[in-house]
Amino acid sequence: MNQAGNLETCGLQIRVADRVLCRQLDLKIGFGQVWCLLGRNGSGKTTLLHTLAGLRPPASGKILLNGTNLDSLRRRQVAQQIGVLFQDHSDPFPATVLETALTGRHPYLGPWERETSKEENMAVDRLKEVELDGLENRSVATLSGGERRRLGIATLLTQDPPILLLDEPSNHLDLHHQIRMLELLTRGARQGECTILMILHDVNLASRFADHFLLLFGDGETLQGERDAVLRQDLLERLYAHPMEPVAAPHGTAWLPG
Amino acid sequence: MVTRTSIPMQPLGLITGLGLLAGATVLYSLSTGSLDTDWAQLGRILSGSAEGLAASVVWDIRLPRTITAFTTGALLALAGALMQVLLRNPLADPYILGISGGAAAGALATLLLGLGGMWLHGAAFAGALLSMLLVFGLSHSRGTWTPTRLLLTGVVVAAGWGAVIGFLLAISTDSTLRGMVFWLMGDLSYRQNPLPGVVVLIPGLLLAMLWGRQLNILARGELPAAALGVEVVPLRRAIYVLGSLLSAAAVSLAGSVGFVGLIIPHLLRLLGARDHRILLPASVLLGGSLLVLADTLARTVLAPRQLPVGILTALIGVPVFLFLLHRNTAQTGETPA
Repeated sequence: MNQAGNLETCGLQIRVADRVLCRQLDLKIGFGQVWCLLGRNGSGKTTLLHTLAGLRPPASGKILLNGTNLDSLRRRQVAQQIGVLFQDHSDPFPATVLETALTGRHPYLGPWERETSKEENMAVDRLKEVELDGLENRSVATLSGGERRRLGIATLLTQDPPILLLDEPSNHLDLHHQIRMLELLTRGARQGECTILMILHDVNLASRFADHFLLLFGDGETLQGERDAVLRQDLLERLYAHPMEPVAAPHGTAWLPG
Repeated sequence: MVTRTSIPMQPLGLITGLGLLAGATVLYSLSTGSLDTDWAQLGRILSGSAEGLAASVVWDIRLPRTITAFTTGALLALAGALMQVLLRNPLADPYILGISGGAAAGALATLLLGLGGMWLHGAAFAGALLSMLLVFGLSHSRGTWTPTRLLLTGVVVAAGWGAVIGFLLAISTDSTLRGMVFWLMGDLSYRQNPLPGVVVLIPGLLLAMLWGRQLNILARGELPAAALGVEVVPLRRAIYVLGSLLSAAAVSLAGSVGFVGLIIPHLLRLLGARDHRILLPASVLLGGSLLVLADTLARTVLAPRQLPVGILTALIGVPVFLFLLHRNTAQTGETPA
């Protein structure tokens, strides 16, 4: 597996303080797949995502990026392969929308190199895709929560890595933009150009956009598989400790919390 | 098509403007003093075609002092900009981590012992380095090195130095007390060689500018920076060491000149210099200019009495900063960080 866009774990164990969040996880995220991570609050979804991005060391086990051990790579090399959309973000210092989107090109530029019109055009195009065109010179501090979320997505798309790790990409977005942004983010995967692993809390949104699922039960146990094998009433009820009702819907099964 | 942004043009204008301002303040400083020197005379002196008392005043007294003032201001503003990124806190200044406290303890001890000259600057530098190592070691335990832990350690160590300074002031004699208080407010009246400061400033600026884009990204947070390819821990250590050395060099030259390191980077951000590749050289130019202007006024407004330069930096800087803050808020309705 030396092709771009493959992320693999072997016997991965993740611990926060004394709690084991996942035990002996063997995961193979192949090129072009869209994975969704489901679990209750505090079950370790974000911690796992950060670990997969190499931002936090695992308690034990290995993470392989395209067959190479992740911790043997420099951050710059990793950033050319893996992009992360974080759950929340704070900006103590002022920046404009365009400047923020341009940070996505950082992993590709040398120390003395400046962003040229090539990078700028890329960022401007991505901002247009997330419907932030015309706001390039606005200060980020003046944006709404949803607009900031879309700016984060535009920055990630400007980075344009083959693997996208998304922590609740639909946060702060209205219905229209939830669908638009998830379509935009998964477009690359559908065209076989990138791999996605995302955390979502909306099972219906997840079932619409993801083809593979990883369930984190919070006690170290995990379960993975393709959509129809995993999105089952008994499993979802156990996962959320809440009654779930399957309802026939035009796009397949919809899930209503009881 | 979207209009091209002002990224390429604006910085050039800003840097050129600040360069002119720096030149103007230096000339003003060289021409002003108890012995008035008009422009024509200053031109003749600087081109080497004039001799006598005026020439030696300009060359031997005013020029070293002006260079010292400029270098001190530049070091402080640069260190302030770096510390603000390091701590991800817009309220950080070069002294927040106890550098000036250590330097002051060293300097006041030499003043108390009646030593001066090189002893004073050497002891200040040694105190600053001691404080830097102390804070680094104490904040570093168990592998983690978060901005919050660093900030808390630094602030507490600074408070400890405050007690030492208070003690030294309390046991000092009346004749040394005045010198001590002046040093604590920032004092450029000691005759000295500005060269060590310049030697730290120029490589420091070049190094920091080399990190420029990484600093922009680190300012947005450690995790996002790491995800964008920044080696966060080595970079933060390097910023800490460089920022501390710059601050140590500044306090060794002129004592704890307040205000410059905190306000200059902010003032420039309000003027639109958000990119550290612009912000850092601009801070050097504006910080230097402010201190040259403040020092010229400090030695002339109540001449022959000299005021501590720190009083003047605040007197000039506070209204300018408040005006810009007010103007920006009125224009955009946002409160800049």
